[in-house]
Amino acid sequence: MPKHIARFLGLLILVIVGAVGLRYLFVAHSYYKYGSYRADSVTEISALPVQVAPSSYYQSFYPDIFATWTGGVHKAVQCVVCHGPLKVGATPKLDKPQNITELCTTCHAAFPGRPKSQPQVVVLKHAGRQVCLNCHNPHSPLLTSEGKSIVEDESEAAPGSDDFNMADASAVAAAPAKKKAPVGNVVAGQKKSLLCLTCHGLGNVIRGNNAGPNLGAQTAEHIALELRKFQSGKRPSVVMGPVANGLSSDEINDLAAYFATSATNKR
Amino acid sequence: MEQLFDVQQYIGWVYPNETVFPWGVLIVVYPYLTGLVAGAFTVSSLYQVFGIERLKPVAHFALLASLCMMLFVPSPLLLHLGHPERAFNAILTPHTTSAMAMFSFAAMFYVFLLAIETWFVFRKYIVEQAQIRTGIMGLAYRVMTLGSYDVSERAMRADRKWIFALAILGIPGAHGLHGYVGFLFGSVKAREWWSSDLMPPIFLFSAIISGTALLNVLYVLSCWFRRVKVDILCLKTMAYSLWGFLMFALLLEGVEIVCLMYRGREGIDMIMQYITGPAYYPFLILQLAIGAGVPILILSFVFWRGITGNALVTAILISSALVMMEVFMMRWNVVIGGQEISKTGKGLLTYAMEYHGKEGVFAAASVLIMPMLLLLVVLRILPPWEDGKASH
Amino acid sequence: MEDEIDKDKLVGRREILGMLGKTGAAIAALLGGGEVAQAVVAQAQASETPAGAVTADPGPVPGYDWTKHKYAFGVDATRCIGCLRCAVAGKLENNVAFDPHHFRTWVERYGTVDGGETLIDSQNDEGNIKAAGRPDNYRFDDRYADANVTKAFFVPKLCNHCTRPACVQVCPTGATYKTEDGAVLIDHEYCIGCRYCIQACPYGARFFNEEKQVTDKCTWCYHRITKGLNPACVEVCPASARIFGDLKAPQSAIKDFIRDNRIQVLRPDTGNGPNVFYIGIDKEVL
Repeated sequence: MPKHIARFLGLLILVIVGAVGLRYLFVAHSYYKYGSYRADSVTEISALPVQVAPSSYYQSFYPDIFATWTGGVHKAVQCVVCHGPLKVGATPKLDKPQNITELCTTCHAAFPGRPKSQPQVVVLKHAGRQVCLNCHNPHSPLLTSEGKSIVEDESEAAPGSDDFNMADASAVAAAPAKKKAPVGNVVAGQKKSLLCLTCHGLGNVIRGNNAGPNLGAQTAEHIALELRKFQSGKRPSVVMGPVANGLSSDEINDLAAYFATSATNKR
Repeated sequence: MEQLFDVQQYIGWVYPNETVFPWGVLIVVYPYLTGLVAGAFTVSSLYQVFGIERLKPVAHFALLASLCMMLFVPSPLLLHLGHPERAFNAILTPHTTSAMAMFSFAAMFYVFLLAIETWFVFRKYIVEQAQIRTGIMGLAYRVMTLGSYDVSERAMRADRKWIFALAILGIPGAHGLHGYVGFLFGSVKAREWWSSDLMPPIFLFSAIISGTALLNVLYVLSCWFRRVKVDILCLKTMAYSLWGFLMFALLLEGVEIVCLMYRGREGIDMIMQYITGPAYYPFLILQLAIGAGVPILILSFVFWRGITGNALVTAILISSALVMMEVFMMRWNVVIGGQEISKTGKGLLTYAMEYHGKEGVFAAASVLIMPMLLLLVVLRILPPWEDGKASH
Repeated sequence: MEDEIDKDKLVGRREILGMLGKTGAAIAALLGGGEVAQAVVAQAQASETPAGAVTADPGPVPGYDWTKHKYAFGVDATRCIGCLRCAVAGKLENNVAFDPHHFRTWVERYGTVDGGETLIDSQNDEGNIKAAGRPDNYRFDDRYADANVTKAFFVPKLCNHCTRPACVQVCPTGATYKTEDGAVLIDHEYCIGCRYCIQACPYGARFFNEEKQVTDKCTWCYHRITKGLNPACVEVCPASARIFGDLKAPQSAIKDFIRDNRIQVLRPDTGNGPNVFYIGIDKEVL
């Protein structure tokens, strides 16, 4: 073999050996541990800080508000939604929302595309110039007693608003003192409820065909009231009218009691 | 604050994350450059392997041009990367399923092959210079000889064998390299505009025509600079192969677009709207009509009429320039076009070119000019001309 | 009634306590909480792996066995109210730029007016950007207020964490990969920023993080789920439209979701094998 070719081959081998050696030196040590990636990166990613805290984190700091919140219909709306990211400290101070109307309408403005089960309002029709917090406690937004009196004052003046019957619902729910709360039998209600589930589903437990609103997270008072309104024709409905007409007063109470149990309300 | 990204305008419905283009004009330049490499190498191997003696005047020149451009192929990629300092990760720990990682090995192999073949081809000249020259250049030549001044007939015979073997190896090397670039796009199933089995051959043939066209232009220019007569036979042979490969490339591009339209899968409405709308000039007019159709007509005409002399040179020069433009537009329409048609198949985006910055037009243009400047330098170190004189 | 209420409270308390046992303590530990909290975490994890059982390599996450989990995600589009708290939470939790062009998760609105063509818009839409008013907020505008809407619905989107992810296939360095428990992650210290994966994703789930110069996308909040928490978007969803869970757990929300519904995935024809399951989406959704 001519000298120059021998030298060239030697040089080539040197380069290849050098490259393999350098590669051995530079490959990240955890790279091939589990596959073609750096195993350490999984550790690094899993150690990133949590910013959106679960609401339970705040329970010990704000026990009263926490109790109001878990007892109300807003319990599916976590603290972070309105109050911002996790605050660290002895007593974490949460952000106070700046623009309340903007915040509430984020979820409750009437919108094509929002499912029927979502309470929606056209703000001007629903509240005029009233601020949301005049009538609602954000942690448990069914009507407060001040709200109730405002609604009573105004309901005479402007009857028959066509938005979601939220005012109605909350007015009644907030006034259990006036009307006697229905007392029903949960077991009997459960038996009777099979008919309802087809359309309404049952919280997260059973999903209906979405023809009707979700009955989970409703109070017993509200369900009983609405069923009676269907019965009397005060709330006309082709579907619910005949259904309600077939129910006795006890059966209505049973159903209401059943739908208000925690099993159906579970998130 | 410096703006970190450009948001592109769109119509219809595009995914929110799609409004920032991942790939810009640099990624257009990159396959264009590899295409020129592969094409120039093809011309050199037509002489080295297939023994087409008429191409002898440009064979070594083609090899040098190929090497110079290949050395700059990584530059548009490195400019584009978010973390160029980590680029070696792709070679240290290549992901075996990734076309891009495997591609870097193919490219590395090919750079070595080109450098080695060039060394063998110019060894005799290097040894001569090492004995004559002094100073820094003399030292450089002496290093390049690897300490052996053996230019005996036996050594030269061994060299020729090596050159032949390397040239043969280089054909799948160069063409595989560029077919691979086509695969890089053709394998992306998320984009209907790219996802095609014909992408690798389309890239390959357009690579060959772009390289041949570039050599036509460079050869004529070099003859003018050197005040030498253009070797008409050589130029005509290159023009013939340009014509043949151009026909093939145009056919493949046509078949691809017809198949795409005829298949008419989801999103075809948007693609039709794109072709007849924003892509009308860059695709139908510049790429297919002026870039491919006109050169075919010009070349056919001069061959048919047997035109020769300066008229032939001018005709070939014009068609070659047009072909280079068509291939650039083809790269543009693939890379930018693919991103202008939304993945949703329900919207179109408009790419607004950036001018400054590391991914702008100026960066892209310098990436294209740099190899030519390097070629000028290399031509002085290793003159490829038969008379053995440097290019001045 | 009184009894009912009491029962309610008890159950609620128990649920919360259960939640606290694992997640709350994990958070406390995370925040540098005391030894007690750490002990609780250790306890929770001890109960996960039976004592004495010789397990295979539990994976690279300390105190967590990734061979014992396989995650999946469910989206009930019929429940989505389009409030976009998920999009905000995804950015907040993972330090994503607050602009309308980089999303770990987003929501699309599909609307049909007078039975015509389906119109789709999302957070990159001019009208919606205007409705949000400021860069750190997202909101759908009320464009259909006066129109005769024949059909409208919202669809939340996120990374599908596919079984055969096209993005992982094309990554040249192995900077993106699929973990044992089903998440597709990105190694921000190893990514070279070539953006090939952004091209390869048929769902548009990936984006380029210009600040870090690497690709970014939804990780199902891997740092949360390995601690037993839900991903941030699931945590904040007020409509329970997002369901997350472990397919290997004896009982989980996602198992119920898959069992009780006829589920769909997006673009099954790509062969990616998505692991985000949808119900209530329409033919236009892809």
